[in-house]
Amino acid sequence: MNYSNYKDFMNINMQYDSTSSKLSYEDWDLGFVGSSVDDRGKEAIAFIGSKTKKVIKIEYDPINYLILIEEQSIGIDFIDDFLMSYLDLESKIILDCTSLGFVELLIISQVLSNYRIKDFDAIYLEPEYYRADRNKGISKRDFELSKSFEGYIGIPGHTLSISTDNCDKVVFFCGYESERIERAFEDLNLNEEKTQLIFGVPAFHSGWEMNSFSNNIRVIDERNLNRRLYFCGASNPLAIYEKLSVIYRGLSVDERLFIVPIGTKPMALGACLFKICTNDNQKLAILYDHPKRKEERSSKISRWNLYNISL
Amino acid sequence: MINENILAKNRAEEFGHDLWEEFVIPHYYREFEILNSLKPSIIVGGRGCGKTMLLRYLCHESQFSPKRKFLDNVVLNRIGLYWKIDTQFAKTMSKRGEDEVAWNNAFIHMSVLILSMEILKSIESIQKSFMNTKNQFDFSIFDFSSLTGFEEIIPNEFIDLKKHLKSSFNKFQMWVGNYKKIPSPIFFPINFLIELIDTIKGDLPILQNSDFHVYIDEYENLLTEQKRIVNTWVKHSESPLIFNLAMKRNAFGERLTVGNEQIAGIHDYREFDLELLLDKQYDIFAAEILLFRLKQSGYDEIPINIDDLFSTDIPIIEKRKSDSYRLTILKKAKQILPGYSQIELSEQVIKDSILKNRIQELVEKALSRRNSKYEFSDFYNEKYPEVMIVLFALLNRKDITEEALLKELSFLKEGKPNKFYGKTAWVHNNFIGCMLFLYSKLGRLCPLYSGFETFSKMSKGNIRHFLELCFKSIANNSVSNSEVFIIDPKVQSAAAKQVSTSLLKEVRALGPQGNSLYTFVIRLGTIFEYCRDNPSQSEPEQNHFTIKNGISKRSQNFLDELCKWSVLYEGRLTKRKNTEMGVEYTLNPIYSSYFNISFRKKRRIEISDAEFGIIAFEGLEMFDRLIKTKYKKELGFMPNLFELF
Repeated sequence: MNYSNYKDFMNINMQYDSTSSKLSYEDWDLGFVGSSVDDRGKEAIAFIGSKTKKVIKIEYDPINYLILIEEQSIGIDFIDDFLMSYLDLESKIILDCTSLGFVELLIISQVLSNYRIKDFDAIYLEPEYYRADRNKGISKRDFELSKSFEGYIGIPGHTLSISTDNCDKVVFFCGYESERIERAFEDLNLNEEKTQLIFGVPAFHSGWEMNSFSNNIRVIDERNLNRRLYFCGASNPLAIYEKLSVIYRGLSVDERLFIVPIGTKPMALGACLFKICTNDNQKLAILYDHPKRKEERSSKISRWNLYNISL
Repeated sequence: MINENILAKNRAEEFGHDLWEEFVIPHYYREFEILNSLKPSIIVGGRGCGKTMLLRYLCHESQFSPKRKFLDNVVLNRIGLYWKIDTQFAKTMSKRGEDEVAWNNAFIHMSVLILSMEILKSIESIQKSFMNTKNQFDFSIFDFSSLTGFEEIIPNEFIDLKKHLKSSFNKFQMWVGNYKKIPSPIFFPINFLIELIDTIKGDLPILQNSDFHVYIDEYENLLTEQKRIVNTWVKHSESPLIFNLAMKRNAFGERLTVGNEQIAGIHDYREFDLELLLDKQYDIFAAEILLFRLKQSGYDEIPINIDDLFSTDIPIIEKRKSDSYRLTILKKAKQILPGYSQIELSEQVIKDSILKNRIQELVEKALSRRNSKYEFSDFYNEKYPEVMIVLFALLNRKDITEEALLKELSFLKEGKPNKFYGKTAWVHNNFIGCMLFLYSKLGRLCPLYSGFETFSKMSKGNIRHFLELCFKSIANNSVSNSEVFIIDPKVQSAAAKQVSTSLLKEVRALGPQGNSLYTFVIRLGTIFEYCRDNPSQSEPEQNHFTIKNGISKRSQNFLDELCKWSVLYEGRLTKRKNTEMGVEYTLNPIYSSYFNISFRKKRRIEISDAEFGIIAFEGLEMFDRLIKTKYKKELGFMPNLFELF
């Protein structure tokens, strides 16, 4: 299966199937992975390990603004220089969106863009199941996905101060953890009237979108967001890219856009690529709460996605 | 006809910054105003107690609101500036390979820019509100050339200065994000603000006696270094610039200033605990807000003068504290939100065949366990419905024989003193516990969670929770009779369950440890449910706990976090046993309806630090084991009445 879509300045060729053997690719020179917490993470890292000459593990520490890479801690403001020795314009590069966190994806994409590496690949393995909350939860749609959160802390290079003049737009990508949206409203000066929510529909599995709707109904109701809901495919980064482009193009002179990528990882990838491609740090910023993922948060693998990206 | 959309607003953010004739003056206002003179204030209180509303009311958008009719120059003596610091951005001004002093200077610069813009905004508010008075003025009177000492390109004129500050802040944000790639701007010191204020006061004589009060909201979210900077400003506050702070409970941990001096209460600031101040008159205040909001949404049967609620005049505030006012307003609130009396509650149970059968079943089970020769009919008498409610509990107690119980029943029938009432007060002591037991076992909505007084107790100083209970009840009330506006207690109970469930879900969003707090509440509530499920009801209405034999630092930190977010309330032990600590922790009563436990603070359980650790930090298996050993129960899922899909 193959699906292509073209934009003025970005293209993603999206392949997906139930196993990696049915995907079309050539081996890579350099792969970036994160830590695995579940079956699909392990599988994705093993796959990249077997298909890539060099694998680099990378993790971001949001409290100290450090990137743990190749057994070293590098400040986020110095990562460009550090990665230079690993990058080559001709290198074939792959990112594992399954195990890498959002910030790591953003940092790597930014570095690749800074070094004018415009073509690279990304894989993402969808889970067969998410782990339901085994505690006596209120709802059968409660899931055990995150241990805790560091809270909303800016990512240097991608952060602006939210205006008190109510002229900042905010767009949330919605997943199962509605408390992340509630916490953003609680902690930050967000304007409900300028807030939009994007749900991942179609979801990874049909019916899973109901988990998102059900879990987010409270915040939608309390914050009067029911007239500002939008939908983009949960595993389609290009759809998010296009949606963000529309919102971005509609910003007035004084308006800025804050993106809160707390939905699915492919949606987060779309946000990263959009942020990098537009390269507008005066009008675009990211809000992120840095979750610590729970071990075994999902089990088994339902689908492999391979994204061939051309910035 | 009630407009429910107006009623649904219950957060300060939803009202914007101009709260004139929106903010009901709390009864403590004069006390606060007198003490809150030139000394900085530290305003403390849990979520929903009205901190942000109070701060916004004190600030220029409200005080110089276009809605305010009569203005005299006295109001200009105090110009309030509200500032909720954007902490996600402020936090990026730390570490990152730059030294602490440089980031501190950057933080001060940011503060100066933001507060300067806010000062100019306050002048605009004043200008608009004094437009039609003899004190009207034009922005051309200002000359800010004295500020060029800080930066040569600072414009002299008001509008240009405003634009310049905005543009400087935008550039500053870009610099913070990319400080290695972009040259640093010139950092302004805090004195910039004094110079700005002096210039304004010099050019606008009506502000000669004005002081600018900065109210920093949610101080607790700042980094330690940034707190020290703010503490320094508080310590050295003096006319014309005073810094005040607002924060949650247990959040004022950092007392150092930049110069390593401590900031100390009374000497450097006065602390106002809004929940404590509100506590004395909370029920009246809640009733007033309810009536005001009903009035706003189209309900006219209000027995008080609504304008009084916005007055800061001493006689009017005193009138609002008087007994006659209290009687009037509480009577109206109870009329709108009636609850059932104990006798009404028990009659309903007796009339309901399922509940009555449940009583019979429980009594028969107790008699069978005793191998009793007596039957249910020997005890049951519908003439005494309250007594029938507690019957099963008494028969489950070893120390009460059937004969003794029958004897007391005969005393009751004969009108003689008996143990059901009087000194022993079996009915009084066990009624609520037995009601909760009866209803929860059948998975039914318990009508106990209704009535104005109950809503007042359940919300425990949290106006947002109180309004949520009221407005969910009103929204669910299908009978719309404009002449008699009364919410059926059953409708109220259903609303209480919905609100309780919804706010319990919200616990996940309370701070970075929200998920852990949520798990803790679910587990603690489960334990109280198991305590409730004892048919003898020997210890009814357990809903708080104390920790015996000392507590670890980890547990204490977690308890502090739970109290900070008002998930638990900390209180001093009233009756202290040997091994107990001096404090007890009560589960926020707003969650009581979800767990079908009592909203009244009645009896506590004792747990050890190790047990607390299991409830708070360990996995499900360990908690399961604790439940099995301590409460002889199996964990199970309870159906949720309000599952939407």
